[in-house]
Amino acid sequence: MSWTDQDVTAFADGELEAGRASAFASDLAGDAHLQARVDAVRAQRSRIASAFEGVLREPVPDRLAALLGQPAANPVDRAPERRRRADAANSPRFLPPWATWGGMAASLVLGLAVGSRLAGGGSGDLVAQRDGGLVAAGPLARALETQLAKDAAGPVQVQLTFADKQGRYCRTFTAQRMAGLACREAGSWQVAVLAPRVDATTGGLRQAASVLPGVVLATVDAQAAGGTLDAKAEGDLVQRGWR
Amino acid sequence: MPDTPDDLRLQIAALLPRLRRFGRALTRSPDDADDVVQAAVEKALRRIGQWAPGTRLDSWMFRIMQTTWIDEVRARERRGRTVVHEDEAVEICASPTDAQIDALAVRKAVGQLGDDQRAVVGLVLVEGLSYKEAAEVLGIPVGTLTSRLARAREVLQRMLGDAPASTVEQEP
Repeated sequence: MSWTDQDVTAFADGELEAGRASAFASDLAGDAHLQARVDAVRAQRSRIASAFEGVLREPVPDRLAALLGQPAANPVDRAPERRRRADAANSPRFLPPWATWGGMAASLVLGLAVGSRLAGGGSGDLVAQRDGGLVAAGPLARALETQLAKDAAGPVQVQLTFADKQGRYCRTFTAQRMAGLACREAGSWQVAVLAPRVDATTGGLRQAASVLPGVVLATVDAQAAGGTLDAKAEGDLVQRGWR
Repeated sequence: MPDTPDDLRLQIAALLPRLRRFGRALTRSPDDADDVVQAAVEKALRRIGQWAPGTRLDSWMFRIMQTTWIDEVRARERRGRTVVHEDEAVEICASPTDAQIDALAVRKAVGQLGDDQRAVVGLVLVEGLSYKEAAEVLGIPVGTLTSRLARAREVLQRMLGDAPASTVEQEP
């Protein structure tokens, strides 16, 4: 007999009623095409389940555990967190727990929208791996080293420049479909954060920072020792080769 | 022996990772997900006497999460704020594996589904509830759930195709 897509899906999900399920199973034995349809449904299901599995391995945030940790615990006040988020420009999300600065040198925030190859050895690569971390390469390295924010043009645009709490100079950048933050250390630009860029679709004044993902802005907020550097200070640093 | 409120508290605590996972499928951002989990846990603790012993505690929590999220979506609409649909960022090493890249693609695609479809995908495909259990959580007939799930699967199939993405495409 011929089975509808709905039957195939229900069988694959274990939801076909018993009588029809055994008829289905006996048809399945000699029908490679039917088997392939079942396999496709199951493959999609397992692919979707796998995509969310990682959450189970993440540590549960304290604010959630605290709700249940102590019998009769008072509800945690979410207002301060909401206010903090609301205050941040461009509604960046707070920095996820894993995105602490200490772990960043060796870690990379990568979004799906990253449109360029990261480090494949080709001439257009923007980053290269070195000592387990990432450093800016090619056009990205050149832009970070020499580009002034006001002159941003070409494949890489540099926006904010600031000194971080470790005394390094850091700059945010956008390149193709990614955006990130790099800090100058030992003569090269260590890429600390890389994320898919967000494009400003609102009208009116377009802030340079508006294309920066929340995770990049949050890092700037968290790590800038003072404010961002003005155009003159930035120009002086470019002149001096960031020393 | 009936569960005491403190037993239930422990059982809910043990469910937190799964509640967070369902939240990721239900909402479109990890922060919204944890906010929904938090609000749902607070509600559950206030209404702990309403939980029917012998029924699934996870389903009860999912239901509270789902209604909490729908309320939040409506409240945002009333305030004229669209629900922010953010790109998710994840921590991965310098060489993301194919599986990590594919997982991002899948989560992004799920995020593009409508609220109703995300809820059924989260309950059935992510959390593994049966059609009947999921329909009960959502308070809809099984037939409605089945067709919602079928539509969601079609959309995901169109967005994602069959094979997991194996490479990060080079931009032209």
